Amino acid sequence: MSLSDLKENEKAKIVKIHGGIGLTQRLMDLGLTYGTVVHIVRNFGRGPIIVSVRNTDIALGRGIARRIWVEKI
Amino acid sequence: MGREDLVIALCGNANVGKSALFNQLTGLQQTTGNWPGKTVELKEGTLYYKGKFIKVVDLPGIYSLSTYSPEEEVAEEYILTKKPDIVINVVDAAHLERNLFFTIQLIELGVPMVIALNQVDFAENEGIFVDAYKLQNLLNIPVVPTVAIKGKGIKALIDEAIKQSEEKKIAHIEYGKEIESQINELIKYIPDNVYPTKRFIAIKLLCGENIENIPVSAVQKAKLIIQSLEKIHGEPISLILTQERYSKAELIARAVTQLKNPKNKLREFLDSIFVSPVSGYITLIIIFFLIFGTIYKFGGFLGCILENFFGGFKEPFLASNIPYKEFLWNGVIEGFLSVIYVVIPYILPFYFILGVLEDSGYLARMAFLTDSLMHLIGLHGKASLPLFLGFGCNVPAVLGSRIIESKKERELTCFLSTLVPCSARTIIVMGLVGAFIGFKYALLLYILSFFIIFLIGKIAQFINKSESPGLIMEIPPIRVPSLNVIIKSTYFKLKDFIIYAIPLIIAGSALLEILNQANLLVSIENFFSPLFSGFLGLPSFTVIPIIFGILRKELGIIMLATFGGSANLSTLLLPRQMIVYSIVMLFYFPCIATISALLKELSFTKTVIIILFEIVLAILLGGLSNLILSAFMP
Repeated sequence: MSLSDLKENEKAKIVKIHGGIGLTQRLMDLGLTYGTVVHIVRNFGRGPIIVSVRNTDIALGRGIARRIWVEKI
Repeated sequence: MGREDLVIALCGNANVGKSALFNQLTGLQQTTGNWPGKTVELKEGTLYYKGKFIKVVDLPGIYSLSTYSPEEEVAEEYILTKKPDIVINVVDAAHLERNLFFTIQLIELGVPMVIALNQVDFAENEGIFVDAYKLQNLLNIPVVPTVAIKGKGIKALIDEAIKQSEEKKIAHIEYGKEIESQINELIKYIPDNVYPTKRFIAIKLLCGENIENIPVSAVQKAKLIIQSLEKIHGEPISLILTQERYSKAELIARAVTQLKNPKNKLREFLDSIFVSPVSGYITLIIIFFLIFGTIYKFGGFLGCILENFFGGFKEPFLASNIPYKEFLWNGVIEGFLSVIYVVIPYILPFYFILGVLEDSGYLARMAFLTDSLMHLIGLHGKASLPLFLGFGCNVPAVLGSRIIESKKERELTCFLSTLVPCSARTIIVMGLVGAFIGFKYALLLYILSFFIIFLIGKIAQFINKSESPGLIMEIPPIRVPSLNVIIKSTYFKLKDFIIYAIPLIIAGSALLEILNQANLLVSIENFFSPLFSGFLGLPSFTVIPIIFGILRKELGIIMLATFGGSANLSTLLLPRQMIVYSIVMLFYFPCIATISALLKELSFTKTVIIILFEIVLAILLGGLSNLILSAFMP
């Protein structure tokens, strides 16, 4: 499933980022590396989401969140 | 410059209190300049400490050195080419893991470093306790705990920085075995005389970068390693390295951090109001209108007072015996005053409010909430603030677009915000169309403005084509903003703008006055009158007010009476002409103050393109509406 499918307060582990090298690099630089556990802070069901990664909240556009594949835990 | 004994570069993530530290170090002795060839700001200041002149450079706030945004390139280029004596890496104690990731990249640059472990008080409030001594031992870099906004730890930091700049010790970070053995293998092929270190060059080569003056054998060896590693891992080495750096950062951060029960539940409560599907938007709208109300109402009020006050000097000045008094008043003093009339009532409160929004962390939340809406015109959440503020005055809107990182989006926001009907244009629309034809028609013109902005946004989106990557933005913790930080940032931004805008605006008004005194305005009027009377259906006396509207848009209505020869505007213009005139004024030309703001934010060519585009747009829309309206209006 993708990051955008998760509900608020759910936790997941990042499995894969489906994007070009530029996007993947940017996301990884912010700490979204493979295996990292994240939790969803806000997901209104549309528009961007807020995800907590390495104790930092990061807003991601929905289109980007859709490209981040995760495993729910 | 060049007289300093020491150069310190400040480097670190965004939102870590780097600017606060910079302000503490340099006080009011600051200058802002652009790095050659890029619109990235570099702030410089000087500090006199224990008999030494120290130059402090504030590098842009960035998260890494690997994605090659202009800010990242500037930071890296600065460190590699200007070779500062010491780099102070500002690290946020509350977000240690992510900050250390960047620290590790800085270490690779092979420069002497000191770490300012900042916001330790805030972190402790959040239940995060960092052992600075342990961190120092693990990294082999001096770590000084600081609270920059309160000035704590600053002296110790400078002392340590001076000490390290003399010792010039360079730290070293090792990654996992697999990648280390490959780096060491490649280092054998790299000559000794490279800068800054062989290891740095090896890592750059492995990330697939081209580096000058490197033997072909090294480049070929790098290619072989890249091939074999990418085969095993199935992804580019730069990504493998990023993950290596993060696991290192994670390891160190966990070893030095202790988590206790956080004291602060207020933040969560505030965010449950500010960032929620219902109350979030309600508070957003309230805050938007509060900001707008302050800038618009307070600005309008203050503007009136200032105009009445300074306007009172006009009569006595013109009655005096000063030589060239008319030229001096109309060309120079009026120009200077028009800066005052824009800066004090509108830009000063704007910068102050922007400071509050930025420092409190609300700006990021605002961007989050408005992201979907801004997507409609190919922009992201951060563009909502400048665009909205454009209704008060376009100048702060253009200057405010600086909060947007992506260059293309920033430029588009600048452009679109000059089309937002500002208060001066509202005065024209309301004073003509609203007063003489009806409020409904005035509203229609407003809607036309929005439609045009939307349309241009869509077209720009289509032209740019490259699917914009969408919002990626840190949401910093919400907190009480620091008045000290805000006042300073307001002061510096205001100073920057005034220094930049005053000569331009005075030159512009002087030019208009010269044209006026040389009686050239009549020839200009004659030149344009075929276009005006033919295509736009406007009487030719409207040419001059439109030209003077460049100086200040309100003049577009004030001077109608002067040049039309009657204070009753309904005897001068037909309803149809009022609408056409208002449309032309809505779109035709940013005022001089806005132009100087555009020049400050964009290149000269782009500013000229925007001006020309808006002239053509105004004439086309005016002509078109004249054509349509003349079918059913006198």
